[in-house]
Amino acid sequence: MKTSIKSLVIFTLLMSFFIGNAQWTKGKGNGYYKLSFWYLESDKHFTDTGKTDPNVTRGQVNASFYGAYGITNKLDAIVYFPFFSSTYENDVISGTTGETISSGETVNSIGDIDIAVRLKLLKTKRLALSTSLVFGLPTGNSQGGSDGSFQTGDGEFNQLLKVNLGTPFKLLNAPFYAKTYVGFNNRTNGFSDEFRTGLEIGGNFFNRKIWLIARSQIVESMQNGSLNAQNSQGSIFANNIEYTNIGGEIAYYITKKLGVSLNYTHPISGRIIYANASISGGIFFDVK
Amino acid sequence: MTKFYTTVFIVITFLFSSCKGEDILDDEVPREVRILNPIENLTESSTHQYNASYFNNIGQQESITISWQSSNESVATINTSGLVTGVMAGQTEIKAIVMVNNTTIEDSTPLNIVMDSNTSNSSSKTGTIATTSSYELSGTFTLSTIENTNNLLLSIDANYKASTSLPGLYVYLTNNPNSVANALSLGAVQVFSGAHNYVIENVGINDYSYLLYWCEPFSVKVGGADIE
Repeated sequence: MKTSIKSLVIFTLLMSFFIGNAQWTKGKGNGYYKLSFWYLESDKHFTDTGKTDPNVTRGQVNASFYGAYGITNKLDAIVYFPFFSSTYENDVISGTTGETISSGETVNSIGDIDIAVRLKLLKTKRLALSTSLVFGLPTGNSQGGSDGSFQTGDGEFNQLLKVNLGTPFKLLNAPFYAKTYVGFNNRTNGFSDEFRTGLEIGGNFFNRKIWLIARSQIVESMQNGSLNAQNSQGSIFANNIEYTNIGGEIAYYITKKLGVSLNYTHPISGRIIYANASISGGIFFDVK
Repeated sequence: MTKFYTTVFIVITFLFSSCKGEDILDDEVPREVRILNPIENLTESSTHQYNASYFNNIGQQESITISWQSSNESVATINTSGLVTGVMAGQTEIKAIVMVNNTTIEDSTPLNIVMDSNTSNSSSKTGTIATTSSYELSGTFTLSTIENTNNLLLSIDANYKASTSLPGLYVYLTNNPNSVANALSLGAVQVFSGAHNYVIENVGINDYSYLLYWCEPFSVKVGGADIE
Protein backbone atom coordinates (compact mmCIF):
# COMPACT_ATOMS: atom_id res chain seq x y z
CA MET A 1 0.00 0.00 0.00
CA LYS A 2 2.95 2.24 -0.40
CA THR A 3 1.49 4.44 -3.10
CA SER A 4 -1.78 4.81 -1.28
CA ILE A 5 0.03 6.03 1.82
CA LYS A 6 2.03 8.49 -0.18
CA SER A 7 -1.04 9.81 -1.94
CA LEU A 8 -2.80 10.38 1.32
CA VAL A 9 0.16 12.19 2.78
CA ILE A 10 0.59 14.43 -0.22
CA PHE A 11 -3.10 15.18 -0.36
CA THR A 12 -3.42 16.06 3.28
CA LEU A 13 -0.24 18.02 3.55
CA LEU A 14 0.07 19.81 0.24
CA MET A 15 -3.55 20.79 0.14
CA SER A 16 -3.36 22.17 3.63
CA PHE A 17 -0.46 24.41 2.71
CA PHE A 18 -2.32 26.27 0.04
CA ILE A 19 -4.20 28.43 2.48
CA GLY A 20 -4.92 31.95 1.40
CA ASN A 21 -7.41 34.11 -0.41
CA ALA A 22 -6.79 32.40 -3.71
CA GLN A 23 -3.36 34.02 -3.67
CA TRP A 24 -1.91 31.37 -5.88
CA THR A 25 1.57 32.74 -5.81
CA LYS A 26 3.23 34.20 -2.77
CA GLY A 27 4.76 37.29 -4.27
CA LYS A 28 8.46 38.09 -4.36
CA GLY A 29 10.17 37.60 -1.02
CA ASN A 30 7.07 36.24 0.68
CA GLY A 31 6.82 32.72 1.96
CA TYR A 32 4.85 30.12 3.80
CA TYR A 33 6.65 27.57 5.98
CA LYS A 34 5.16 24.79 7.97
CA LEU A 35 6.29 22.04 10.31
CA SER A 36 3.73 19.25 10.33
CA PHE A 37 2.91 15.91 11.81
CA TRP A 38 0.63 13.56 9.90
CA TYR A 39 -0.92 10.40 11.33
CA LEU A 40 -2.91 7.56 9.87
CA GLU A 41 -3.86 4.30 11.52
CA SER A 42 -5.86 1.85 9.47
CA ASP A 43 -7.63 -1.43 10.15
CA LYS A 44 -9.60 -1.55 6.88
CA HIS A 45 -9.04 -0.76 3.24
CA PHE A 46 -10.93 -0.32 0.02
CA THR A 47 -10.46 -3.34 -2.24
CA ASP A 48 -10.33 -3.35 -6.04
CA THR A 49 -14.13 -3.68 -6.06
CA GLY A 50 -14.58 -0.52 -3.99
CA LYS A 51 -15.84 -2.40 -0.95
CA THR A 52 -14.01 -2.33 2.37
CA ASP A 53 -12.18 -5.31 3.88
CA PRO A 54 -10.42 -5.56 7.24
CA ASN A 55 -6.65 -5.71 7.60
CA VAL A 56 -4.15 -5.95 10.40
CA THR A 57 -3.72 -2.52 11.93
CA ARG A 58 -1.05 -0.53 10.16
CA GLY A 59 -0.07 3.04 10.60
CA GLN A 60 2.15 5.80 9.38
CA VAL A 61 3.43 8.93 11.00
CA ASN A 62 5.22 11.67 9.12
CA ALA A 63 7.06 14.71 10.33
CA SER A 64 7.69 17.12 7.53
CA PHE A 65 8.72 20.56 6.53
CA TYR A 66 6.92 22.48 3.83
CA GLY A 67 8.15 25.69 2.38
CA ALA A 68 6.88 27.94 -0.39
CA TYR A 69 8.91 30.99 -1.33
CA GLY A 70 8.13 33.69 -3.87
CA ILE A 71 11.12 33.96 -6.16
CA THR A 72 9.33 36.59 -8.21
CA ASN A 73 5.81 37.96 -8.12
CA LYS A 74 4.83 35.27 -10.58
CA LEU A 75 6.93 32.31 -9.55
CA ASP A 76 7.10 30.29 -6.33
CA ALA A 77 9.54 27.57 -5.37
CA ILE A 78 8.08 24.86 -3.15
CA VAL A 79 9.60 22.00 -1.24
CA TYR A 80 8.00 19.27 0.82
CA PHE A 81 10.52 17.40 2.94
CA PRO A 82 9.26 14.50 5.10
CA PHE A 83 12.38 14.35 7.22
CA PHE A 84 11.00 11.56 9.38
CA SER A 85 8.58 8.90 8.24
CA SER A 86 7.60 5.94 10.34
CA THR A 87 5.44 3.02 9.21
CA TYR A 88 4.36 0.27 11.55
CA GLU A 89 2.21 -2.82 11.90
CA ASN A 90 0.65 -4.19 15.06
CA ASP A 91 1.49 -7.54 16.60
CA VAL A 92 -1.18 -10.17 15.95
CA ILE A 93 -2.13 -12.04 19.11
CA SER A 94 -4.11 -15.26 19.32
CA GLY A 95 -7.44 -14.62 20.98
CA THR A 96 -7.44 -18.24 22.10
CA THR A 97 -3.98 -18.70 23.59
CA GLY A 98 -2.69 -15.15 23.99
CA GLU A 99 0.45 -16.10 22.10
CA THR A 100 1.94 -13.91 19.41
CA ILE A 101 1.02 -15.17 15.96
CA SER A 102 3.00 -12.56 14.07
CA SER A 103 5.21 -9.82 15.39
CA GLY A 104 4.61 -6.33 14.14
CA GLU A 105 7.33 -4.09 12.82
CA THR A 106 8.29 -0.47 12.70
CA VAL A 107 10.43 1.03 9.97
CA ASN A 108 11.73 4.60 10.16
CA SER A 109 13.37 6.62 7.42
CA ILE A 110 12.87 9.82 5.50
CA GLY A 111 10.00 9.93 3.01
CA ASP A 112 9.76 10.93 -0.62
CA ILE A 113 10.70 14.57 -1.16
CA ASP A 114 8.65 16.78 -3.46
CA ILE A 115 10.00 19.85 -5.16
CA ALA A 116 7.75 22.11 -7.16
CA VAL A 117 7.36 25.41 -8.94
CA ARG A 118 4.15 27.40 -9.19
CA LEU A 119 3.61 30.00 -11.88
CA LYS A 120 0.97 32.70 -11.87
CA LEU A 121 -0.86 32.81 -15.19
CA LEU A 122 -3.61 35.29 -14.46
CA LYS A 123 -4.76 37.35 -11.53
CA THR A 124 -7.67 39.76 -11.37
CA LYS A 125 -9.89 40.91 -8.53
CA ARG A 126 -12.24 38.03 -9.25
CA LEU A 127 -10.00 35.29 -10.50
CA ALA A 128 -6.60 33.73 -10.03
CA LEU A 129 -5.14 31.18 -12.38
CA SER A 130 -1.86 29.38 -11.89
CA THR A 131 -0.07 26.23 -12.86
CA SER A 132 2.29 24.11 -10.82
CA LEU A 133 4.69 21.31 -11.59
CA VAL A 134 5.57 18.92 -8.78
CA PHE A 135 8.43 16.45 -8.98
CA GLY A 136 8.15 13.49 -6.61
CA LEU A 137 11.60 12.21 -5.79
CA PRO A 138 12.01 8.58 -4.68
CA THR A 139 14.03 9.39 -1.58
CA GLY A 140 11.99 7.23 0.79
CA ASN A 141 12.33 3.54 1.53
CA SER A 142 10.34 1.50 -0.98
CA GLN A 143 11.33 -1.94 0.33
CA GLY A 144 11.31 -1.58 4.09
CA GLY A 145 10.63 -4.26 6.65
CA SER A 146 10.93 -8.03 6.59
CA ASP A 147 8.55 -8.48 3.68
CA GLY A 148 9.25 -5.22 1.84
CA SER A 149 5.82 -3.80 2.56
CA PHE A 150 6.85 -1.16 5.09
CA GLN A 151 7.45 1.63 2.65
CA THR A 152 7.97 5.29 3.27
CA GLY A 153 8.22 5.98 -0.45
CA ASP A 154 7.07 4.51 -3.71
CA GLY A 155 10.43 4.12 -5.43
CA GLU A 156 9.40 5.99 -8.52
CA PHE A 157 9.87 9.46 -9.94
CA ASN A 158 6.57 11.12 -10.71
CA GLN A 159 5.68 14.44 -12.25
CA LEU A 160 2.41 16.14 -11.37
CA LEU A 161 1.24 19.02 -13.55
CA LYS A 162 -1.65 21.04 -12.17
CA VAL A 163 -3.75 23.98 -13.23
CA ASN A 164 -5.29 25.90 -10.33
CA LEU A 165 -8.24 28.26 -10.49
CA GLY A 166 -9.50 30.29 -7.57
CA THR A 167 -11.81 33.13 -6.71
CA PRO A 168 -12.34 35.24 -3.58
CA PHE A 169 -15.80 36.25 -2.43
CA LYS A 170 -17.65 37.55 0.63
CA LEU A 171 -20.22 35.70 2.64
CA LEU A 172 -21.92 37.23 5.68
CA ASN A 173 -19.31 39.97 5.49
CA ALA A 174 -16.53 37.43 5.97
CA PRO A 175 -13.86 36.87 3.33
CA PHE A 176 -14.14 33.52 1.59
CA TYR A 177 -12.44 31.84 -1.29
CA ALA A 178 -13.10 28.87 -3.53
CA LYS A 179 -10.56 27.11 -5.63
CA THR A 180 -10.27 24.07 -7.75
CA TYR A 181 -7.61 22.33 -9.73
CA VAL A 182 -7.11 19.61 -12.28
CA GLY A 183 -3.87 17.71 -12.58
CA PHE A 184 -2.14 14.90 -14.39
CA ASN A 185 0.40 12.78 -12.54
CA ASN A 186 2.85 11.08 -14.88
CA ARG A 187 4.27 8.06 -13.06
CA THR A 188 7.16 5.76 -13.82
CA ASN A 189 8.31 2.19 -13.09
CA GLY A 190 5.11 0.59 -14.34
CA PHE A 191 2.72 2.60 -12.19
CA SER A 192 -0.43 3.93 -13.82
CA ASP A 193 -0.71 7.65 -14.45
CA GLU A 194 -3.31 9.56 -12.49
CA PHE A 195 -5.91 12.23 -13.07
CA ARG A 196 -6.43 14.45 -10.08
CA THR A 197 -8.93 17.13 -9.24
CA GLY A 198 -9.93 18.93 -6.10
CA LEU A 199 -12.19 21.58 -4.65
CA GLU A 200 -11.60 23.78 -1.64
CA ILE A 201 -13.70 26.41 0.09
CA GLY A 202 -12.36 28.48 2.94
CA GLY A 203 -13.61 31.28 5.12
CA ASN A 204 -11.85 33.75 7.41
CA PHE A 205 -13.42 34.54 10.76
CA PHE A 206 -12.79 36.44 13.97
CA ASN A 207 -10.91 39.33 12.48
CA ARG A 208 -8.78 37.09 10.23
CA LYS A 209 -7.65 35.03 13.15
CA ILE A 210 -9.21 31.74 12.10
CA TRP A 211 -9.51 30.02 8.76
CA LEU A 212 -12.10 27.27 8.36
CA ILE A 213 -11.58 25.22 5.26
CA ALA A 214 -13.47 22.34 3.62
CA ARG A 215 -11.95 20.42 0.79
CA SER A 216 -12.30 17.36 -1.36
CA GLN A 217 -9.99 15.60 -3.74
CA ILE A 218 -10.51 12.92 -6.36
CA VAL A 219 -7.76 10.70 -7.76
CA GLU A 220 -8.55 8.47 -10.72
CA SER A 221 -6.10 5.95 -12.12
CA MET A 222 -5.57 5.99 -15.89
CA GLN A 223 -5.20 2.18 -15.66
CA ASN A 224 -2.27 2.32 -18.07
CA GLY A 225 0.50 0.91 -15.86
CA SER A 226 2.02 -2.51 -16.32
CA LEU A 227 2.43 -3.20 -12.62
CA ASN A 228 0.09 -5.73 -11.05
CA ALA A 229 0.24 -8.77 -8.79
CA GLN A 230 0.49 -11.04 -11.84
CA ASN A 231 3.84 -9.74 -13.01
CA SER A 232 5.41 -8.89 -9.69
CA GLN A 233 5.65 -12.46 -8.39
CA GLY A 234 4.22 -11.72 -5.02
CA SER A 235 5.99 -8.49 -4.24
CA ILE A 236 4.18 -5.86 -2.26
CA PHE A 237 2.88 -2.80 -4.00
CA ALA A 238 -0.38 -1.10 -4.83
CA ASN A 239 -1.07 0.23 -8.28
CA ASN A 240 -4.19 1.75 -9.77
CA ILE A 241 -5.26 3.30 -6.51
CA GLU A 242 -8.25 5.63 -6.61
CA TYR A 243 -10.03 7.62 -3.96
CA THR A 244 -12.34 10.46 -3.12
CA ASN A 245 -11.53 12.31 0.09
CA ILE A 246 -13.32 14.95 2.06
CA GLY A 247 -11.79 16.89 4.87
CA GLY A 248 -11.66 19.98 6.93
CA GLU A 249 -9.04 22.21 8.45
CA ILE A 250 -8.91 24.89 11.05
CA ALA A 251 -5.98 27.30 11.09
CA TYR A 252 -5.46 29.80 13.85
CA TYR A 253 -3.16 32.79 13.50
CA ILE A 254 -1.55 33.37 16.87
CA THR A 255 0.15 36.44 15.46
CA LYS A 256 -0.02 37.96 12.00
CA LYS A 257 2.63 35.51 10.83
CA LEU A 258 2.62 32.60 13.20
CA GLY A 259 -0.16 30.07 13.47
CA VAL A 260 -1.22 26.50 14.10
CA SER A 261 -3.50 24.26 12.10
CA LEU A 262 -5.33 20.98 12.47
CA ASN A 263 -6.56 18.88 9.57
CA TYR A 264 -8.91 15.93 9.32
CA THR A 265 -9.35 13.94 6.12
CA HIS A 266 -11.58 10.97 5.47
CA PRO A 267 -11.81 8.81 2.36
CA ILE A 268 -15.42 8.27 1.31
CA SER A 269 -14.66 5.88 -1.54
CA GLY A 270 -11.62 4.30 -3.11
CA ARG A 271 -9.83 1.31 -4.54
CA ILE A 272 -6.69 -0.32 -3.12
CA ILE A 273 -6.26 2.28 -0.41
CA TYR A 274 -6.71 2.50 3.34
CA ALA A 275 -10.25 3.41 4.38
CA ASN A 276 -9.55 5.23 7.66
CA ALA A 277 -9.30 8.90 8.40
CA SER A 278 -6.01 10.72 8.82
CA ILE A 279 -5.20 13.72 10.94
CA SER A 280 -2.42 16.23 10.75
CA GLY A 281 -1.37 19.22 12.71
CA GLY A 282 1.34 21.78 12.42
CA ILE A 283 2.78 25.13 13.14
CA PHE A 284 3.19 27.56 10.28
CA PHE A 285 4.94 30.82 9.57
CA ASP A 286 3.23 32.98 6.96
CA VAL A 287 5.45 35.76 5.66
CA LYS A 288 3.42 38.31 3.68
CA MET B 1 23.86 21.69 17.53
CA THR B 2 24.52 18.10 16.46
CA LYS B 3 23.58 17.00 19.98
CA PHE B 4 20.30 18.88 19.69
CA TYR B 5 19.36 17.24 16.40
CA THR B 6 20.36 13.81 17.73
CA THR B 7 18.16 14.31 20.78
CA VAL B 8 15.22 15.43 18.64
CA PHE B 9 15.67 12.44 16.35
CA ILE B 10 15.79 10.01 19.27
CA VAL B 11 12.69 11.55 20.87
CA ILE B 12 10.75 11.41 17.62
CA THR B 13 11.88 7.84 16.98
CA PHE B 14 10.75 6.81 20.45
CA LEU B 15 7.37 8.49 20.08
CA PHE B 16 6.71 6.93 16.69
CA SER B 17 7.99 3.49 17.68
CA SER B 18 5.50 3.39 20.50
CA CYS B 19 2.58 3.54 18.05
CA LYS B 20 2.73 -0.20 17.45
CA GLY B 21 0.02 -2.04 19.36
CA GLU B 22 -1.72 -5.40 19.30
CA ASP B 23 -4.51 -6.88 17.21
CA ILE B 24 -6.43 -9.81 18.65
CA LEU B 25 -7.26 -12.58 16.18
CA ASP B 26 -10.21 -14.87 16.81
CA ASP B 27 -8.46 -18.09 15.86
CA GLU B 28 -10.39 -20.69 17.81
CA VAL B 29 -11.40 -23.80 15.86
CA PRO B 30 -13.06 -27.04 17.00
CA ARG B 31 -10.67 -29.61 18.46
CA GLU B 32 -10.22 -32.51 16.10
CA VAL B 33 -8.64 -35.93 15.80
CA ARG B 34 -7.93 -36.99 12.24
CA ILE B 35 -6.93 -40.32 10.71
CA LEU B 36 -4.07 -39.35 8.43
CA ASN B 37 -3.79 -42.40 6.18
CA PRO B 38 -7.17 -44.01 5.65
CA ILE B 39 -7.58 -46.83 3.11
CA GLU B 40 -10.71 -48.15 1.49
CA ASN B 41 -9.77 -51.79 1.11
CA LEU B 42 -7.56 -54.33 2.82
CA THR B 43 -7.10 -58.00 1.90
CA GLU B 44 -7.67 -60.76 4.39
CA SER B 45 -4.75 -61.44 6.72
CA SER B 46 -3.02 -58.24 5.64
CA THR B 47 -2.19 -55.35 7.95
CA HIS B 48 -2.20 -51.59 7.70
CA GLN B 49 -0.70 -49.17 10.20
CA TYR B 50 -3.11 -46.31 10.80
CA ASN B 51 -1.77 -42.96 11.93
CA ALA B 52 -3.80 -40.18 13.48
CA SER B 53 -3.13 -36.72 14.85
CA TYR B 54 -4.89 -34.56 17.36
CA PHE B 55 -5.29 -30.86 16.56
CA ASN B 56 -6.10 -28.49 19.43
CA ASN B 57 -8.38 -25.46 19.52
CA ILE B 58 -6.03 -23.38 17.35
CA GLY B 59 -5.46 -26.16 14.81
CA GLN B 60 -2.03 -26.98 16.19
CA GLN B 61 -0.93 -30.62 16.25
CA GLU B 62 -0.51 -31.86 19.81
CA SER B 63 0.74 -35.13 21.31
CA ILE B 64 -1.98 -37.03 23.10
CA THR B 65 -2.94 -40.65 23.65
CA ILE B 66 -5.09 -41.93 20.80
CA SER B 67 -7.10 -45.12 21.18
CA TRP B 68 -8.40 -47.25 18.31
CA GLN B 69 -11.56 -49.26 17.72
CA SER B 70 -12.92 -51.54 15.01
CA SER B 71 -16.72 -51.63 14.90
CA ASN B 72 -16.69 -55.24 13.69
CA GLU B 73 -13.90 -57.29 15.27
CA SER B 74 -14.94 -60.34 13.29
CA VAL B 75 -14.00 -58.51 10.07
CA ALA B 76 -10.89 -56.64 11.25
CA THR B 77 -9.05 -56.19 14.49
CA ILE B 78 -6.99 -53.17 15.49
CA ASN B 79 -4.44 -52.92 18.30
CA THR B 80 -3.67 -50.01 20.61
CA SER B 81 -1.10 -48.53 18.24
CA GLY B 82 -3.48 -48.50 15.24
CA LEU B 83 -2.28 -51.62 13.42
CA VAL B 84 -5.32 -53.16 11.73
CA THR B 85 -5.47 -56.77 10.55
CA GLY B 86 -8.04 -58.10 8.06
CA VAL B 87 -9.80 -61.20 9.42
CA MET B 88 -12.52 -62.02 6.91
CA ALA B 89 -14.34 -60.33 4.02
CA GLY B 90 -16.80 -57.70 5.17
CA GLN B 91 -17.15 -54.09 6.28
CA THR B 92 -16.06 -52.37 9.44
CA GLU B 93 -15.48 -48.85 10.70
CA ILE B 94 -12.19 -47.83 12.21
CA LYS B 95 -12.28 -45.14 14.88
CA ALA B 96 -9.53 -42.99 16.38
CA ILE B 97 -10.59 -41.62 19.77
CA VAL B 98 -9.12 -39.06 22.17
CA MET B 99 -10.35 -37.71 25.48
CA VAL B 100 -9.84 -33.99 26.06
CA ASN B 101 -11.27 -32.21 29.11
CA ASN B 102 -13.68 -35.12 29.67
CA THR B 103 -14.94 -34.79 26.11
CA THR B 104 -14.66 -37.59 23.60
CA ILE B 105 -13.44 -36.57 20.16
CA GLU B 106 -13.25 -39.11 17.38
CA ASP B 107 -12.70 -39.65 13.69
CA SER B 108 -13.80 -42.67 11.74
CA THR B 109 -13.17 -44.22 8.37
CA PRO B 110 -14.87 -47.17 6.66
CA LEU B 111 -12.77 -50.20 5.78
CA ASN B 112 -13.61 -53.11 3.49
CA ILE B 113 -11.82 -56.40 4.04
CA VAL B 114 -11.64 -58.10 0.62
CA MET B 115 -10.34 -61.37 -0.76
CA ASP B 116 -8.89 -59.84 -3.96
CA SER B 117 -5.31 -58.79 -3.38
CA ASN B 118 -5.36 -56.49 -6.45
CA THR B 119 -7.85 -54.09 -4.93
CA SER B 120 -6.49 -50.57 -5.11
CA ASN B 121 -6.91 -47.66 -2.71
CA SER B 122 -7.56 -44.27 -4.17
CA SER B 123 -6.26 -41.26 -2.27
CA SER B 124 -7.46 -37.94 -3.53
CA LYS B 125 -9.57 -35.11 -2.21
CA THR B 126 -11.34 -32.15 -3.76
CA GLY B 127 -12.47 -28.70 -2.81
CA THR B 128 -14.09 -25.49 -4.00
CA ILE B 129 -12.18 -22.25 -3.50
CA ALA B 130 -14.38 -19.31 -2.52
CA THR B 131 -13.56 -15.75 -1.58
CA THR B 132 -14.17 -14.60 1.98
CA SER B 133 -13.27 -11.02 1.10
CA SER B 134 -14.17 -8.46 -1.54
CA TYR B 135 -11.42 -9.73 -3.84
CA GLU B 136 -12.27 -12.11 -6.65
CA LEU B 137 -11.23 -15.68 -5.88
CA SER B 138 -12.91 -18.86 -7.11
CA GLY B 139 -12.20 -22.27 -8.54
CA THR B 140 -12.05 -25.98 -7.80
CA PHE B 141 -9.12 -28.27 -7.12
CA THR B 142 -8.02 -31.84 -6.55
CA LEU B 143 -5.45 -32.85 -3.96
CA SER B 144 -3.93 -36.27 -4.61
CA THR B 145 -0.96 -38.37 -3.60
CA ILE B 146 1.83 -38.85 -6.11
CA GLU B 147 2.46 -42.58 -6.48
CA ASN B 148 5.57 -44.04 -4.85
CA THR B 149 6.38 -40.77 -3.10
CA ASN B 150 5.46 -38.96 0.10
CA ASN B 151 4.38 -36.00 -1.97
CA LEU B 152 1.05 -34.47 -2.92
CA LEU B 153 -0.14 -32.88 -6.13
CA LEU B 154 -2.48 -29.91 -5.75
CA SER B 155 -4.18 -29.46 -9.13
CA ILE B 156 -6.06 -26.19 -9.43
CA ASP B 157 -8.66 -26.44 -12.18
CA ALA B 158 -9.15 -24.25 -15.28
CA ASN B 159 -12.10 -22.45 -13.66
CA TYR B 160 -9.77 -20.78 -11.11
CA LYS B 161 -9.63 -16.97 -11.00
CA ALA B 162 -7.98 -14.60 -8.53
CA SER B 163 -7.79 -10.82 -8.40
CA THR B 164 -4.53 -9.39 -9.71
CA SER B 165 -5.07 -6.21 -7.70
CA LEU B 166 -4.31 -7.66 -4.31
CA PRO B 167 -0.72 -7.21 -3.19
CA GLY B 168 1.06 -10.11 -1.52
CA LEU B 169 -1.37 -13.00 -2.04
CA TYR B 170 -0.04 -16.29 -0.65
CA VAL B 171 -1.49 -19.80 -0.47
CA TYR B 172 -1.26 -22.16 2.52
CA LEU B 173 -2.33 -25.58 3.73
CA THR B 174 -3.63 -25.26 7.27
CA ASN B 175 -5.78 -26.77 9.97
CA ASN B 176 -7.03 -23.38 11.05
CA PRO B 177 -8.83 -21.35 8.35
CA ASN B 178 -8.42 -18.15 10.39
CA SER B 179 -4.67 -18.17 10.87
CA VAL B 180 -1.38 -19.00 9.17
CA ALA B 181 0.18 -20.03 12.46
CA ASN B 182 1.30 -23.68 12.07
CA ALA B 183 0.29 -23.54 8.39
CA LEU B 184 2.38 -24.80 5.47
CA SER B 185 3.14 -22.06 2.95
CA LEU B 186 2.97 -23.06 -0.70
CA GLY B 187 4.41 -19.66 -1.65
CA ALA B 188 3.26 -16.48 -3.31
CA VAL B 189 0.43 -16.86 -5.80
CA GLN B 190 1.89 -16.46 -9.26
CA VAL B 191 -0.96 -17.78 -11.40
CA PHE B 192 -4.16 -15.73 -11.30
CA SER B 193 -6.26 -17.51 -13.89
CA GLY B 194 -6.59 -21.06 -15.21
CA ALA B 195 -5.20 -24.48 -14.38
CA HIS B 196 -1.92 -24.90 -12.52
CA ASN B 197 -0.28 -27.28 -10.04
CA TYR B 198 1.63 -27.30 -6.79
CA VAL B 199 3.83 -30.25 -5.80
CA ILE B 200 3.92 -30.47 -2.00
CA GLU B 201 6.74 -32.57 -0.63
CA ASN B 202 6.58 -34.84 2.42
CA VAL B 203 2.96 -34.11 3.26
CA GLY B 204 0.18 -36.66 3.72
CA ILE B 205 -3.22 -36.41 2.11
CA ASN B 206 -4.91 -35.89 5.47
CA ASP B 207 -2.32 -33.70 7.16
CA TYR B 208 -4.24 -30.50 6.43
CA SER B 209 -7.94 -29.80 6.21
CA TYR B 210 -8.07 -26.37 4.63
CA LEU B 211 -6.61 -24.54 1.63
CA LEU B 212 -6.09 -20.91 2.64
CA TYR B 213 -5.46 -17.81 0.50
CA TRP B 214 -3.86 -15.11 2.64
CA CYS B 215 -2.84 -11.49 2.04
CA GLU B 216 0.57 -11.17 3.65
CA PRO B 217 0.89 -7.37 4.04
CA PHE B 218 -2.62 -7.10 5.47
CA SER B 219 -2.33 -10.36 7.46
CA VAL B 220 -5.86 -11.22 6.50
CA LYS B 221 -7.70 -14.14 4.98
CA VAL B 222 -8.81 -13.59 1.40
CA GLY B 223 -10.50 -16.92 0.76
CA GLY B 224 -10.06 -20.65 0.87
CA ALA B 225 -11.61 -24.08 0.70
CA ASP B 226 -12.31 -27.12 2.83
CA ILE B 227 -10.29 -30.10 1.61
CA GLU B 228 -12.91 -32.84 1.40
